[in-house]
Amino acid sequence: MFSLSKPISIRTLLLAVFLLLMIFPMVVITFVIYTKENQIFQSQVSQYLSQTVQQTERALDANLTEIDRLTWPLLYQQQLDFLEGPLHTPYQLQEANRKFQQMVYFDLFRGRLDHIRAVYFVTPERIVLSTDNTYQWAKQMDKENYRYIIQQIASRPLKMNWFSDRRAAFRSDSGFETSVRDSVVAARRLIDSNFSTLRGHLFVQFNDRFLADSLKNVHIGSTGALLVTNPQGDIIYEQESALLQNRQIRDAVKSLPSQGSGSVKLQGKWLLSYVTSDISGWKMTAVVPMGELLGANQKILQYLLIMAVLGTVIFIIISVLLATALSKPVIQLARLMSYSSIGHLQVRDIQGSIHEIGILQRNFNRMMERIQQLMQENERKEKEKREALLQALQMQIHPHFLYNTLDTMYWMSKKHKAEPISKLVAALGKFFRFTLSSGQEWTTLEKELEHVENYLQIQSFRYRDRVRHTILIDPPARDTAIIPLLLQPLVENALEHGISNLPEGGDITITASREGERVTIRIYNSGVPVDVRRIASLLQDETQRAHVGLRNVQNRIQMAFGPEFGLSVEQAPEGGTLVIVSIPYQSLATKEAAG
Amino acid sequence: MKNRFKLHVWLALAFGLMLVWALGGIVFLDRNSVEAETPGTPPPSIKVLIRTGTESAALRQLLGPFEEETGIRVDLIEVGRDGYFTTVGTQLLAGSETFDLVFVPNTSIAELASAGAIAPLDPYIDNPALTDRPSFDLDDFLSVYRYQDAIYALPTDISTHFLFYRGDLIPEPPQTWDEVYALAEKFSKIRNTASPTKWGLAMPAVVPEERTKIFASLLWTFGGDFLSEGNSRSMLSEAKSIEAAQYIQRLVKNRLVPGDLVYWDFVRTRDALLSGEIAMAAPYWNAAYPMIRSDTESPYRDQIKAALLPGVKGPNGKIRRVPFQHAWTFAMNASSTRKEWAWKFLAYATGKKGGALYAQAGGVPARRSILADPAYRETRPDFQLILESMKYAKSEPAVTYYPSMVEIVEDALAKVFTVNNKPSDAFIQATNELNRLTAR
Repeated sequence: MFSLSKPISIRTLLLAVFLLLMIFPMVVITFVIYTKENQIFQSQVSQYLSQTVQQTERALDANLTEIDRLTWPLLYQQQLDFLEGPLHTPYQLQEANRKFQQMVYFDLFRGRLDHIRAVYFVTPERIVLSTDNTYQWAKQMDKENYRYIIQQIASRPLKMNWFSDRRAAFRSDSGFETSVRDSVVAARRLIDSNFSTLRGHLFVQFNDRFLADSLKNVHIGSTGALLVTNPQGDIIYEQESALLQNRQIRDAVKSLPSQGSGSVKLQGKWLLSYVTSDISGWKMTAVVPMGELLGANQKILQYLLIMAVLGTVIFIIISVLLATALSKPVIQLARLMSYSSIGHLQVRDIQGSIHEIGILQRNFNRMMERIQQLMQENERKEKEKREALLQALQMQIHPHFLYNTLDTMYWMSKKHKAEPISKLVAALGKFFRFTLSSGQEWTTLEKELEHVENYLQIQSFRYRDRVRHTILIDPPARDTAIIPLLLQPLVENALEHGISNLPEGGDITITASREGERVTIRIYNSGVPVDVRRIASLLQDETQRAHVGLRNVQNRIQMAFGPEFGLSVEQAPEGGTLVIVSIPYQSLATKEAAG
Repeated sequence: MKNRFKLHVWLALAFGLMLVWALGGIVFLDRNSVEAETPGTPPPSIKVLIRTGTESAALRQLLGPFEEETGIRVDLIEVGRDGYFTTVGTQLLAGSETFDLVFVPNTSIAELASAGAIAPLDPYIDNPALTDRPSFDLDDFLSVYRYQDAIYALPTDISTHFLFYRGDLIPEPPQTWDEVYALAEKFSKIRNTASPTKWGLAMPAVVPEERTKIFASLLWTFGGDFLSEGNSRSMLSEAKSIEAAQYIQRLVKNRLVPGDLVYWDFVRTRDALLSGEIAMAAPYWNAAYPMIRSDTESPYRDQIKAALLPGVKGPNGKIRRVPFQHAWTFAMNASSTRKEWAWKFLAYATGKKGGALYAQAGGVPARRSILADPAYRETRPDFQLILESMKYAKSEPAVTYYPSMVEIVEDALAKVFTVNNKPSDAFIQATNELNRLTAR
């Protein structure tokens, strides 16, 4: 369930972004191209088919108009010789017929005789003039068809009217054996333009070549076909095609609108384009299978879809791989962090190839190492502290016994007048008292230096006065808070490494001064000078076993006062070694009050 | 939590933008898709079949304002004068849809209306949606043309015959045809070698159109006629008719008119006046007046005057004048498929606004209000003369067989003008032919 409060996985996020940026545009573009291209192609195919039909229809209309115009000389102010005289006797009729044939058949239509089967003229009195000797009498007419034609002409009296051969007034049932068949009939009214009186009706009967010559060479695609029907649904002309034998197509053609033009898709299988002639009223219909029209386009669209599906699959794979590649190191890092957060600090991440993530991994590893180091150090210090505390406790076990013994030794030396021994014992007693009480955290610089003084006195017995010492403390620095037993190891070093090896001994001078908020303690020994560089290196390197005391003092100072304080070792200009301890000034009282 | 919410919002926004982009693309493509099958409805337009001449030049000036006012484009199909009537009659009777309006003389109305080749105009005149009757003002027309009580044509141009004469030679226009004859003798070189003009008189006598119409003014003035009352028989063989023909033949015989008069047309006659070849032109068309006035090359332009056509003095001393009048009209093709647009142009061209434009273009609109408008008194002084002439003027018979009648009359007149036959013989033969025609 989607929830705003739930954090999103980086992989989900990356996948979402990749899908959004790659698949979504591709799907949308493919969809748009597919639908629009299909729509446009269908529209254009329909348009081209429609234009073909309209052009064919215009060509046919031009043909019909030409026939119409051939009759125009008969319409206005024209002497019709074949009607001038009376038509009562057979001779008169024969003469009129001869004149009619001469004028109409041989003069007017001479240029189109190859398309004309016969021309008839029927007067209002039903006298027939004909170019066909077989049909010369009104009684030979199909009266119903004649009546029908006259009615149709009456509704469009000025126009040439066109009919199918089924409506022909004269229909040939027999005659010469010929492949030439009747086709359409053109009929118009002829009037006397002087008085607008009816002269009769002219019928022009065409053969099948009249339409075939215009239409048979019209190709509607490779398998399409053309069909011409009149408003009653009679077939005027049809191309030879199996398509036109299809009952569904025939029914569809019949149900098309009787006027205008347009295109109709039939059951998604065929495209029908039709146009109705204003001149003849005939409807020309082109039928063509959709598959033929759209085949090439459908193939292109199929390829487009296949490419789109393949592209989508590839994009998904790339998205998953990319998202995994990008998110895996982050997820791994997050997992390691979780693991380390419960104490497993030994974990390390493998360096990846992505720069920024690599930095994260590297820093994570460093951080783990540093934490481990700090923890080990802390552990060691805790251990040392515990051991020191244990030692102190062990030493506190018998302090009274030690003090009493020392006191006894002091009084015995006094009794035996062994003054040096009494001094040594007294100094030793003070030394132990300070040392044994060093479990407390802080002491004053003055006390610390008194302890150093005791130590030096004890050591002076050992070195038989070869060691001379001077301790000077600046009064403002006396109450400076300092860690107990901090300076003694330094003095020990001065004795051990500086003076002990000199037969003539040496001087140790300790001065403590305060400069503002900083207290400087200088421990000088006139003994053998130390290698200052080595000492500095030893102070930095924790792994070195030599001069552990110096490093401990340094660590203790920096742990207690911070890294800006500590000790340094120099060669004194007058010879010997100078150790300088730098600590901050803070009185013990203030320190204890601050807690 | 806040950051998470922000991320979701950004994601939602990103998806939203992509969705908007996708929908925008679809909508954009839909709006810019290839136009469907129909290339769009063409602007309304009609075609007018018209005869080349002064009328078509003047009517052309109306097309722009009309299209601006109605949005209907009008194309003129100009046909030469020689085959014009055959073209009109054939196309109309063949039911041709090539044109919507046709420019025809009033004499063709009966013939075309009886054949159903032109459409009656009453349904459009009476339709308030198409015609504002008060402003259209049917009574303002000098004439409307009916067939069997239905209006079939409205006139755009009215014509009559004037006498044109050289004012510098003839101070006062002749009032009778006898005076005309006398002046013709005076200003014909053949009779008066001192005459500044070659011929005293000329008139158009070419076919088609001119010969019969020009002669009609003389025929009627002399008291003759083509057909009797009711158009039942020919009157050309009547003495008055023959007298008019004799007058013409006398002019020709005495060479007071050009010998090749049967080839003189409107332009030849006008040019003869402007070049100083003739002293008078009569009967001659009023349409020549603005052309003569606007001619910049002729030295006689200002000397050529127009007057009422002369008459014949009766026994009571009164002068009887019967000048010819006819009109060019607009009729509607019965086979037109754009009849309402055609009517709009017909109404505009014959209306007061169109009439005013037509007048400015040099035409003579058939509206009393325009011809009597004082605004034209200076620029078109011929308008007053036209109105005066119309008081006496007569039209040719409105018969369906007018072309056949004219053919017979033209043939008879050709015999008269060429002095091939005596007028009586030519007119008796014509009468017989006309009677055979009317008998049908």
